[in-house]
Amino acid sequence: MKKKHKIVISAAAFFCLAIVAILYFYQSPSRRNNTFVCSARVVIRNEGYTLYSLLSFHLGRGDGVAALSGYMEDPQHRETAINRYIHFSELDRDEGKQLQSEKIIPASNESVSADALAGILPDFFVEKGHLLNLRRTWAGENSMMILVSGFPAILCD
Amino acid sequence: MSNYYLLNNVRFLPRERTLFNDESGEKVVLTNISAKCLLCFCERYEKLISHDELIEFVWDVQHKTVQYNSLYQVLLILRRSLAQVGLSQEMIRTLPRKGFIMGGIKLEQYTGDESPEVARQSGSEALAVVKASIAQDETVDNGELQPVLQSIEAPFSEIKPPITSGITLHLSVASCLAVAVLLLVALVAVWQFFPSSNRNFFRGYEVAKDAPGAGICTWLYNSDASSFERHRQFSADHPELCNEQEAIYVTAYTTSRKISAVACSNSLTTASRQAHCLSWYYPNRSTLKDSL
Repeated sequence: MKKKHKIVISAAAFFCLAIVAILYFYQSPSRRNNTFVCSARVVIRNEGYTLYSLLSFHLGRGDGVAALSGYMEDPQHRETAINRYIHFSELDRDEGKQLQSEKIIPASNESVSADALAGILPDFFVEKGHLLNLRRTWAGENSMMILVSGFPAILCD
Repeated sequence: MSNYYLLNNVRFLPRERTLFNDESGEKVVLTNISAKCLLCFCERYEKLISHDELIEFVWDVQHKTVQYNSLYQVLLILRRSLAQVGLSQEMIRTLPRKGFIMGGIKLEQYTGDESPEVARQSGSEALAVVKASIAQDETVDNGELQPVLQSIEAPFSEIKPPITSGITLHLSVASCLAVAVLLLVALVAVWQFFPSSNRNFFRGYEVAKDAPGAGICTWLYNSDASSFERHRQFSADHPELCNEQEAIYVTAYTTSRKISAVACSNSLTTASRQAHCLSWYYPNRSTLKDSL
């Protein structure tokens, strides 16, 4: 290989490295740290029970917190309040994210029973130590969306 | 829409939903709801805002369905975002049974929406005006005007014409390789950092013209489903969604008991404005076989 070629290749490699470095530092800290916030209105219905909720995810680098509030309606149209925080850790996966609930903190005004919740919500929101598989994607004008088991379940505001 | 300096070095851009710390470079993109909430506090700085006033401002026409718990969660997220850019979480105070108040900071309002092109144009006009005044009034001291002219002309002098060198470009294997690598890096950067419409999850959804209520709203079904029977059943069971929302994206498969629907105030595939959406999720909805 000629000396001239070596110089050109070295210059190209240096230029590429410079671009990568600029792009890395140009992007927002939240993206660099892989953090994001998502808030969505979600209705979940199962066997006559309906949960009307506002669901918020605050994902950090290796952990985060989810907040769930709203009310649940049973088949007799009785309403019970739900308001709880779920602290979770993030497990690495090839595709998407896998969250594991570490601590469930129900608020004092929560009146729904754990058994009723277990019938409608994934175990992740009910008991600690359970997993939730998520995949992030995009919808509309840069709106973040979370897929649960491959289904578009949470569209962030 | 005005922008705000929450402190000397922290900017809030409501249109971009962004908090930006000029010193540390920390940037936080707020959720739509959180940004509206902060905008309300900025517009009514050091004034007491009741729960209902805040909910009405933030959720607009949907405020009657919102509970206080939802508001507290939004404030929790907002306070965390404020802390992330170096502001005190205490700047938004909760007054029990009264409402909320924002204070204790140096709030300044400014309009920062002038584009660089407009600024350059206005700069040119200013330059022309000054030069004309020099030409007309010979008694003006050029020594006094020179620094003014230099300050106006400085941004334009930075824009230099492209340098034309006399070196002939010889295409070789090495240079081709270098160009290919550069193009590859540029493509990866564009794909990674600028989300395009190709990444829209609902891009391939089909409009269901024969769905119940199709004249009132638009039902869209995932095109990779082998049959739309379950989708149509869902549309028939939920006519109320069609009255409230403009576009409803239904995802279902014949092999799965799950079904989900995202109902939005406007189309996620064609409209450019922000859509307000409600997600429906059935983890275990009965299939057609069950109902037969």
